[in-house]
Amino acid sequence: MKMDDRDQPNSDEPQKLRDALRRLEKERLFVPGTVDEAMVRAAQEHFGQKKDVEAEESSPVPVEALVFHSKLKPVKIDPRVRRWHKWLPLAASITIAATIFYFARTGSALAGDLNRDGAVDVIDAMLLAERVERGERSGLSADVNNDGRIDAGDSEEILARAVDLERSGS
Amino acid sequence: MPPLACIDGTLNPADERTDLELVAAANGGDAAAFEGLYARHRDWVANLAYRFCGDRELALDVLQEAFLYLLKKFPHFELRCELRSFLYPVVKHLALNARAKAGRFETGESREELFAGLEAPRVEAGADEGLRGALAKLPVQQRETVVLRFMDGMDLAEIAAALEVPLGTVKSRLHHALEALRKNPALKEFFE
Repeated sequence: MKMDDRDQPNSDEPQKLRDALRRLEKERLFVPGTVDEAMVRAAQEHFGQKKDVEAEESSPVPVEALVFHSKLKPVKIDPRVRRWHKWLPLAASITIAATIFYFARTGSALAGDLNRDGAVDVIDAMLLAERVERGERSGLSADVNNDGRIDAGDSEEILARAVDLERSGS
Repeated sequence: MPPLACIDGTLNPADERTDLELVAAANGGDAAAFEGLYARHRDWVANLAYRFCGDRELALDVLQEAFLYLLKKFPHFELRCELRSFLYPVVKHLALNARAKAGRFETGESREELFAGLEAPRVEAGADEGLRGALAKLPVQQRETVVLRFMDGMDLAEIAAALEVPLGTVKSRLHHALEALRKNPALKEFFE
């Protein structure tokens, strides 16, 4: 069977069936203007707050908090340690390469971030629970409770952490 | 900050930027970009929520919760798929919770049945009623795929991302669902 990846009808998807299925949802939900207003207000507040935080973060550092490096004494390195210095760039390169390989393989930099949005939350818990139920665990980076396996326990762990974070207002 | 484009409760015409561009702008603190995302996807989210909840008020609550959830993701939101694919499990989860809190689970109604999103009481009379019945007989995962494909007009890649399954699985589910519908004598007219 050949089926297009885009939203185009083909012989496997008869137009009459397509139209009939769309008719099943004839009744559309009207969204009142008050809901839109509330949403826009929330956005305004959210982005307004973020601006304030950024402004605070970018405020100049007081002079007394600055460290003047010229006053620091040079650090003496033990000759025994110095011997290993020439290997440090190589060791660093290997570590970086291994890290990149690991995250490229697992597809996510964050354990449990199933929808890959950069955060682990209740939606990830739900997605993991569904995948565990379907027996689809390969390639997942979701052993968040570090017990060596991916199962419902990980989903519960994500949920517990997410709820804690939400309660603490993070 | 650019001025917000909400005048007297009505949203301005759609922003021409892509979802990805709007997300990038919102990550930069542009509230109007977030409003653009809301204006573009509001109706789809509202109707998806209505389909899962079967109740207008609950659906409107879910609509707001879903976009508040999205709002909290900024300024560090990484969109790695279509926004609808990202929002689908969010709406599904919120709608399910809203329905559970409202005590609207009926006897014998499983979470899986709700996930299929077809139990909202919107039966049209006539031949379409037969189609609804035939859909109800499909396995839940096939039904969910059919609904996303035909009612929501999602492409297969979007469906795969929304359901977190491989593209091949979506194709397979859709194929089997259509085969089952094709074999139903009551639906013959739809395949002529």
